[in-house]
Amino acid sequence: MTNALKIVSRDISAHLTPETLAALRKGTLPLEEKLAALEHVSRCSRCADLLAAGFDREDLLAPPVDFAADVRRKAKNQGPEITDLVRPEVLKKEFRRYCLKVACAACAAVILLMTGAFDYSVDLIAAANEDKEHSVMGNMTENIKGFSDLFFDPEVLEDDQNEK
Amino acid sequence: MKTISNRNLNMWEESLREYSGLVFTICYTMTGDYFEAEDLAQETFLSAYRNLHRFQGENMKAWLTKIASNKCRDYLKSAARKSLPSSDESFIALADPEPLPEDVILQKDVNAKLYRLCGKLKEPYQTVALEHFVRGRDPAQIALDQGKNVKTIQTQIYRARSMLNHLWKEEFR
Repeated sequence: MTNALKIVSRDISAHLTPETLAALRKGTLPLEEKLAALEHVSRCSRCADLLAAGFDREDLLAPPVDFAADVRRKAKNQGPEITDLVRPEVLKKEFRRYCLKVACAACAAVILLMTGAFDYSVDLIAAANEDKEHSVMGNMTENIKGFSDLFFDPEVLEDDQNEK
Repeated sequence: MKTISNRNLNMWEESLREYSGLVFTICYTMTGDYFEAEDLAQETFLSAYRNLHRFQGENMKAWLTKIASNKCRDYLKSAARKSLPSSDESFIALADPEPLPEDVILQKDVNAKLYRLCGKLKEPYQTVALEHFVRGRDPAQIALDQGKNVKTIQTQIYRARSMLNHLWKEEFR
């Protein structure tokens, strides 16, 4: 196993050697080692910084013409403009407003509970149920009974049942 | 909802100006392919843009290097890289091999390779490719010089790029 592969591991404390970084920079590492080294660099800020720092400014290639313009155009197409995005301070303000609303609603519920407003409502419902003559259900029952009496004579039905 | 601070966006813009060369160099060094390096370098900055809300603001150079390394690793590992076209209309523009004029100044090894490949193209692609890829002139400048429409030049550059991309893979991989 080569040095690069020995060093590259999931343990971030194991870093690439200066020799490996130099070889990576020059492009002289064999493919397998290069993949292992790139895997490590993609996870390790320290080695990424060292890799980048090792390139001399004079040795840098000039990017293709219109490179930056192309990137900006593609970035604009893929994402929202900065004006459409919410800044953190606005988010915090919204969150505080939401917490205030929830707190007010909770206080109102507690106050209603403590003052017995719900008990009054319960009494009303119970009274309505006892007064069947004037209750909605009572009226409906009477109407249905009246309707069925048009078709059936309850006395006849009773006599049939008694004979059986 | 993603939140991106103005500060991070400004840093990204600044990094695009400052680190384009570095990111492109890293991608070219890892892949050895000029045109793949261009695509990967663009993807690096676009990925950084998409994930700006995760950037904590410590070291943009290292962060871009990590992204570029990840992109290059994925490219190299990928078994489903673009296959070279077996028949393509661009091939009809390939010229018979002829020597190019010697007065072009060669600055880097990549420029030398590009120059060599541009020599294999037929006109008008050869001239446009030399002007754009070797001498670094933008389409507007080339259009002005040649008295042509910018869109025409852009189309020629696009086709020349496709041909050069193919030639590069044939010759240097």
